[in-house]
Amino acid sequence: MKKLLQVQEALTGGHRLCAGCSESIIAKQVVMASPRPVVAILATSCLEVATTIYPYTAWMIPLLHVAFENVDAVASGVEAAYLALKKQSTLPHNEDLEILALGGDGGTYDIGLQSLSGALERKARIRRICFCNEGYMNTGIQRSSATPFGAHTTTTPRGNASFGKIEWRKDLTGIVAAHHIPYIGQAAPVTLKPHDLRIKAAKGFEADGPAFLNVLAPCSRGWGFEPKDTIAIANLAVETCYWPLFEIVEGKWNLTYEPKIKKPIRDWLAAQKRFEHLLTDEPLIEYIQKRIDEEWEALLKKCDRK
Amino acid sequence: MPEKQTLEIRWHGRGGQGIVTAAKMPAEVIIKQNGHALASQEYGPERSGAPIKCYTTISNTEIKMYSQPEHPDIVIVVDSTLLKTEPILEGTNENAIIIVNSSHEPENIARAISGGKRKVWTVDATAIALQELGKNFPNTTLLGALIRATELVSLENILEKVAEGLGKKNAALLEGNLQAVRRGYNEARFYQGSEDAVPSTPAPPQKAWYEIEEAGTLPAGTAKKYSTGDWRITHPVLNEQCVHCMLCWLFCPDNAIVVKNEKVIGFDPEHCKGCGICAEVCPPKIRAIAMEEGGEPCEK
Amino acid sequence: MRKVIAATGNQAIAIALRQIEPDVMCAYPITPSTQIMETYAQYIADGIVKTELRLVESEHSAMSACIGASAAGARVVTASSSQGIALMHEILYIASGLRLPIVMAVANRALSAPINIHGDHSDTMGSRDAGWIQLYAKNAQEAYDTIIQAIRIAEGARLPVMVCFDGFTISHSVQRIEILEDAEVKDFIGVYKPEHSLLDIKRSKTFGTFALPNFYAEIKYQQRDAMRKALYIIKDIDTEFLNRFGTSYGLFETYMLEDAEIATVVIGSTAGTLKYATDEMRKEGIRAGMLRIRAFRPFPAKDITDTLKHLKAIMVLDRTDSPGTDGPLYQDICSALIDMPIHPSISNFMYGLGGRELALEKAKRIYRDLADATRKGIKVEHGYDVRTEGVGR
Repeated sequence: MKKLLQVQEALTGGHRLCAGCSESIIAKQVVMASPRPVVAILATSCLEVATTIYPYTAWMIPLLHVAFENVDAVASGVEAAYLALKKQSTLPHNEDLEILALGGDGGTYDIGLQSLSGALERKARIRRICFCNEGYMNTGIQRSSATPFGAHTTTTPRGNASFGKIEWRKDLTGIVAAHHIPYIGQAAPVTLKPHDLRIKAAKGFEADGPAFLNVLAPCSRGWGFEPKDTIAIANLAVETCYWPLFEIVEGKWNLTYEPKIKKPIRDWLAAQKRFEHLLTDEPLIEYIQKRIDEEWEALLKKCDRK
Repeated sequence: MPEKQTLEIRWHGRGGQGIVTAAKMPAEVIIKQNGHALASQEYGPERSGAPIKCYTTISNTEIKMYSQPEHPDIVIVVDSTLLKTEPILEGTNENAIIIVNSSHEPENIARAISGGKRKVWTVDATAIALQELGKNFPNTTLLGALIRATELVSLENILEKVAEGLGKKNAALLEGNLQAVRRGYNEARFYQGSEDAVPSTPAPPQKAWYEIEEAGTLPAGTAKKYSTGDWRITHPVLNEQCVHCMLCWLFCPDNAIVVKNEKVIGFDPEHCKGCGICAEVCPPKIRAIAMEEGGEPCEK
Repeated sequence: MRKVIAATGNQAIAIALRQIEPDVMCAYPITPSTQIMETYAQYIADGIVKTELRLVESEHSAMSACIGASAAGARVVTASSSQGIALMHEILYIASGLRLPIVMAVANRALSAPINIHGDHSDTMGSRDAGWIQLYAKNAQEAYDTIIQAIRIAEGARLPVMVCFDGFTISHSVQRIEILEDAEVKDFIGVYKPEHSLLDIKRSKTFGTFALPNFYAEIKYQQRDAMRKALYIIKDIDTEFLNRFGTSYGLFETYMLEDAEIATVVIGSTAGTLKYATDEMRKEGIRAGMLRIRAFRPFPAKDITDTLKHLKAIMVLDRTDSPGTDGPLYQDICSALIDMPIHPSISNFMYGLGGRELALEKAKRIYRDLADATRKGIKVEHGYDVRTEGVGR
């Protein structure tokens, strides 16, 4: 751990993310994992607008923001330039670099999916992080395809005729896996395995080709919990198997954390205001538990645990 | 209605304190009574805790101007920590009314802000909200104080509107809110400023277009100069149990854990937002960090 | 030394790009500019150029990748047309807003619906406010020369440049072209040294910051100022090109204007037809002339005013429609002449949509109508090349 104190710093304080926001924690832990200097490309997102308000940028590493839906295309352009200049020995500094692309679930699961798929198919040597806060938090908490079943958002509101979002979330990690890239990880900023995210990022930085990390990014405002509980909520997501920690290395699935006792999904739901209306609906909770169990079993199978 | 045909109110608060709702509420009451009102806000990318401004305009004739008031008649400060950092008096004249959520006497506030002859009201809206609602939602209390300071509408009227707005959704909170309005009305304290006006310092000049970096491209890390320390409502305190495991450093969202010679020595008062994650991730057996009330500069 | 070859407009562009040998090319094929990418891909396949070519999954991504590469300090080119330009519309503004010298060849083509693959200017006219320099060539030779100039113009102005030429008419027809030697082109464009680069890890910068109302207008005004200065850069580069290679194009081209009474103003390949028509008119004793816009953005309003102010009547030809109002070129010409105490009568003719050619007879009719109206002291009505009489059921 002490060695980490010497590593490159992604962000300085003075950014204007909410108190307790997980996104800067994730950015910091990912960037510190790189053995080489990092150049970052950031999709429009909370992380972008709250860290780059002119004349104040919180970024310590080089950063480029272009738009919402194209971070992977931009990153492939940066990679192309990097390779071209490296070939001609005209890089500003003769050093190997890492190209990191960052986006929220909007910029990854939804509007950015085409650009992501294109870059992965072209095997661009980029490292891609999805901050999955399960909704369009930057614009005020609207649904995304990562928003979980039953969650209240401003576009899937609970009401007399509605229990929140009616669709199950998209399996983005699975979609990325279908691109057969060298490294894929699903992670979260958790203290129950505090170095899991950083270690996955480090493996990603060594991949010979694209690497993708889908990182759960708890959002106190969007999910409805106290800012101090950001990490506790992430822990709970893992302990209930709502967000299992695993990786896919050259096609091989490995579980990186298995809860000793799998907590009931009710614990996860009860900890967040976005699900509070579900707590009296036993059949719905049973349905969610059943699907979580099925997904967990399927994952165990893929990881050769069963 | 006061003599003036149009009354403009500016609200200073922080994201997440519900000041947008606060600015809308009097406008809704007035419109409901077939009057004319407008409520607007300054939208920015800031998140919870960042200073924001809202506006309410009330008039007895049609409001045709949709831009934000430059010379408000009333300024309401929802969060008194903003008195130090925000230009509270900007654009106001000597007749302006300043309403501040504060436990201090209005006379002290008037002096602190160099209010000149402005009328200053204070009300301890946070304490009242905590007592009546169990939460720091000072808006309804301030609404009571606003009614007291202006007699815009009757207290009964505003109570009715609050009941209407909250009754459907949250009966449990209704009585508390009504009580908060009443107490805001009754407990607001007044001070008529008399000091000679202190000439206000003009706003510092801004860069011209040709002085700005091309395309707004910035050198790294300029946000270091931007203070988010005043977002804090609680602050971390470090004790000697600390074993310097660095978990707090690894999980701090604001790079506010100060480390020297591989040891945690304190917190960066300029940037710590008081989220409390450091105290939560500190291993349970050690518990070297505790969060304490108030946004005092944390130790360094 | 120029060498004569036979090539289509697209091939001429591809040859120029080979000679330029950009660091990066990111593109997505679309008719009628596809050949540019195909030819360039073959150069790479044959090991002739070292460019990093990224044939991405959409034009939106193509322009996005160009931005990434350009911000990273590479010399970057692309090509597109029509729906491709429309799809990348959002990103065009970001390329110019970030002040990136990307060069794009555009084989102009109509926009859907109805779908149509042929030439008109709807695509680039739709992005005329995107902050890109727009240079329109009349033929393959000019397109070839202009794309070489565009590299210098873009890097000098720190603005992206579109080099436009008519789809099919120019992009696909084989023409006589005189190309420069590779070394001459390399020497003319020089080595690109960007002011700052995303890859400069020792001088880390944040590109693409967020500007609130207190700074946004100032940053946009910088772009406006850059565009104003670009007029001089275009002229300077053109003069240097003339001195080196004996060819010059200017901001616009004039034909028989000095003593003319009536004239047409046009963009693109149609200028050729109008020159023939002008000659015919002169034979009939009508003092006709023509002005062809090459630099549409920045618009050389002052020079145009000086050139057109003595005329009696002008017909501005727009090869695009702006439903609900007049054509964009017409509006700019009117705006350029409005400050003259006495200005020519100005009319607008929309023509050539979806590849409909403006044949010589039609061109002559435009001049005759202008001449008639001038004689009668009246203004020619706005026109639109469309059938107004049908089969009469």
